[in-house]
Amino acid sequence: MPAFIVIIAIILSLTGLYGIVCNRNPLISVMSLVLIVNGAGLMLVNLDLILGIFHGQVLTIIILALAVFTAIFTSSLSRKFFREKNMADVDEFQRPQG
Amino acid sequence: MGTLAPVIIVVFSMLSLLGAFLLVRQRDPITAAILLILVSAGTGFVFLAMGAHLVGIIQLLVFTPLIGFVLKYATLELPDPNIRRDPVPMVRVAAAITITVLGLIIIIDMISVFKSGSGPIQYQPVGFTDFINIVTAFLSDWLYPVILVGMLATISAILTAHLARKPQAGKQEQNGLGPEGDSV
Repeated sequence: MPAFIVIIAIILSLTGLYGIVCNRNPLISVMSLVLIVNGAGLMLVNLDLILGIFHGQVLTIIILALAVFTAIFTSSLSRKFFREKNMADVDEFQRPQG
Repeated sequence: MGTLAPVIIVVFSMLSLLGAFLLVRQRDPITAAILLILVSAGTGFVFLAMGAHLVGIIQLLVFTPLIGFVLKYATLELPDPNIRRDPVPMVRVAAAITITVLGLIIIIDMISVFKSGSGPIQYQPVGFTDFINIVTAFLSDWLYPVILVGMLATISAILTAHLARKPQAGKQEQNGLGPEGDSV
C-alpha cells in the first residue's frame, strides 16, 4: 500500500505539472498547482505514517493553507485581467511597455 | 488500517487521478473547478483511510470547500475567455513527453527502492495522541511557519480585496468600456 500511494502521488504531481505547462487559461494553471500540492501532501503523509512521526502531516497542513492563499490571489488577479482586458490567455500577457 | 481501508484508498485515489486527468484537458474553468473538488475530496478520503485523520478532516471540511468556493467565485460572470484554439506548440508536447518519461523513471526507481528493503513496508499504528502531537507541534516547533502563513493570509486577503474592486467610471471609459463594463 505505501508503494501504491507513492505512485499515485507522483502521477498526481506530474499531471499538475503538465497542466501548468500546457494550459493557456490561468485559472486552470492554478488548479494544476493545487494538484501538485495534493500530490506532495500525499507523499509527505505516506512517509510520515511509514516512519511513525507527524511532522510531515504538519507540513502538509501548512502547504495546503499556502495553496489556498495562492489560489485566492491568483484567481482575483485573473478576474481583474478578464474584466479589464477581456483576455484569459497566459501567452498574451506581455511585459509593460516603457 | 482496517479491512476496508485498502479498498477505500484504491477507489478514491483512482477517482482523484481520473479527476486530475480530466481537469488538465479541460477548457471550461467551471467544469475544471468541479473536477478539482472531486480530486481534493478523493485525496481527503485517502488521507482518512491511511490513518492521517487530522489532515483528512482538514482537507475535506476546510480545504475542499474553500478551494471550490474560491474558484467557483472566480469563474462567475466571466466573459468568453477568448483563448486561441490553435494546436498546442511543439515545445509543450515535448514538455509533456519529457514529464511522462521522467515520471516513469521515478516510479520504477521508487518501486525498486521499496522492493529492496527487508520485508513489506507497513504503516505504524496511529492513535489519538497523534492529534495532540500535531496540535502541540503547531504551537511549539512549527510556531514560526504558522505565524508566517498567518501573515501571508492577511496580505493575500488585503491584495484580493484590492483586486476585486471594480474600476472607476473614468478608468473604464479610458479602456474603451462603458459604465456597465461593456464595449463603447
